[in-house]
Amino acid sequence: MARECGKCTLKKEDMDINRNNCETYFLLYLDKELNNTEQVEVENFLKEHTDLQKEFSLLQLTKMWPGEIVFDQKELLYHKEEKRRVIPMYWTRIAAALVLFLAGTLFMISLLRSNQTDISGKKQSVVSVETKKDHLNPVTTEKSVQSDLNPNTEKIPVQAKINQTHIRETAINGNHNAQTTVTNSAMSSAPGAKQRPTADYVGQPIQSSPDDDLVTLAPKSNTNVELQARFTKSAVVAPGRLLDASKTPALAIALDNNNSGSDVGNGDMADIQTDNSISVIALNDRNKGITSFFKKLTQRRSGNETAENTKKLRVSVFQFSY
Amino acid sequence: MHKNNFKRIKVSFVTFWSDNRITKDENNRDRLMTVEDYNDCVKNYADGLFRFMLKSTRQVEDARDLVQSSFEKLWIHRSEINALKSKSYLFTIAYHKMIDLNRKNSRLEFRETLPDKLETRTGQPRLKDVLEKALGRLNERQRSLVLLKDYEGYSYEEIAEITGLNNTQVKVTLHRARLQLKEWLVSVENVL
Repeated sequence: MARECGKCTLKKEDMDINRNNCETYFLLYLDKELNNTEQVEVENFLKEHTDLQKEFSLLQLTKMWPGEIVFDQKELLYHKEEKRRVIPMYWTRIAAALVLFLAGTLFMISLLRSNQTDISGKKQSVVSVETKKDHLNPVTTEKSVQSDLNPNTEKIPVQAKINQTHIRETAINGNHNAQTTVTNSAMSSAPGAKQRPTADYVGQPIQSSPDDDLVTLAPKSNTNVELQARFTKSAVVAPGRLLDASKTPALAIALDNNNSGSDVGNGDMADIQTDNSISVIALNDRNKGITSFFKKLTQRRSGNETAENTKKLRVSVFQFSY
Repeated sequence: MHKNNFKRIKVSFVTFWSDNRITKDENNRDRLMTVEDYNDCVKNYADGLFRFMLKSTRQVEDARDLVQSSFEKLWIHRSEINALKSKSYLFTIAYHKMIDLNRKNSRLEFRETLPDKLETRTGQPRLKDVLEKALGRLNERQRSLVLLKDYEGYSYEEIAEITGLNNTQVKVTLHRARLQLKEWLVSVENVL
């Protein structure tokens, strides 16, 4: 009958030691692979069979005894304890870091907002409009533009509705030097060119497209406006022009002649919302701040439609940089 | 060669399974080696390992190299080894390194290059020398098993884990080695 050895998992027959298998039990005894009961049985067997004690002694002599052999290079094997520096996370430090982070975030937000307000502020600062009313001129139903581009300073009738006006280039070089090339069907026409208005925008309400990039100017009166652009190259955008700021980044001059400056609200625009104001707008690609400014300028003119004399305006254009 | 690799894999699996079994039963002892444990291994087992390697290879330098490489491997894998199994792991590494070295150098013959002075506890230097010679007549496996059993006191099961043999093979091999040693002692009975 098989069973497991006391200490190890060896399976062997029942402890039935005899002369035939005593050698195996002797070796198991010497190897300490027997439990206490089995060890006692082996010892009793040896006591009963004294002639086998010599055999047991010989097997016992085969047991190796370890000598005092020392490995003399232990120092090479030792490793020092890895001391890791522990940086405690104090609550005060965490709180200070959070405060600094929040302060920085608020500062950045305020900085961004101030930049936006600066842009609107610059609109006022860089745009300077001087108007001169010429009440002597009778009120006419035409608008005339006198520009330095035209050396003859001949009054050219401007279409109330300009069919093809393209602002082709924008180049702002240096301070107080705005250069814009304008191709205007009305302005580029030679002196004497006979182009008559194809439509009349008198009384047409201001139109502002939902898209901020599109602004429509509409004249409010039939007065004549004489524009004297002091710069050799400037963009003149006639009333009723449809400007697409996203497509035509340019320096544009919006003509208006019928603002009395008595509008309520929009106080920041009051200085340029004078009679016969001319707005000088620098348009940039998809700049909402500019377009919103442009909208404000146009919205203020509603309800103040007066028939005034032809007004002679002088426009000073400054660089609008941002 | 392939058979040897298979045995190693088997040993590793058995050791791994055994470790897991022990750690599941004894949760308190389920911890991996630390630097302190490693240094304790050096302190407690370096001498025994060196002795085992010296008796197996009979070359002091080879034994030193094997001990150092074994501890180096133990250090590298210390974070994966159960602290309680560090000694078994260490001797397993050393045993297989010794087998590889012997096969590499074709040192199948036991070399009679024992150190001149080997102290013994028993006070029987003459018997000790005879046994050393008798040990040299054993084959590599028998010699390793005898050394693991007598010097380190491993059980059959532990020896089986280290060497990659099963318990029956360990038992049979050890018994045959004992009988050969006994016959050697009887043949030189005049010594006794």
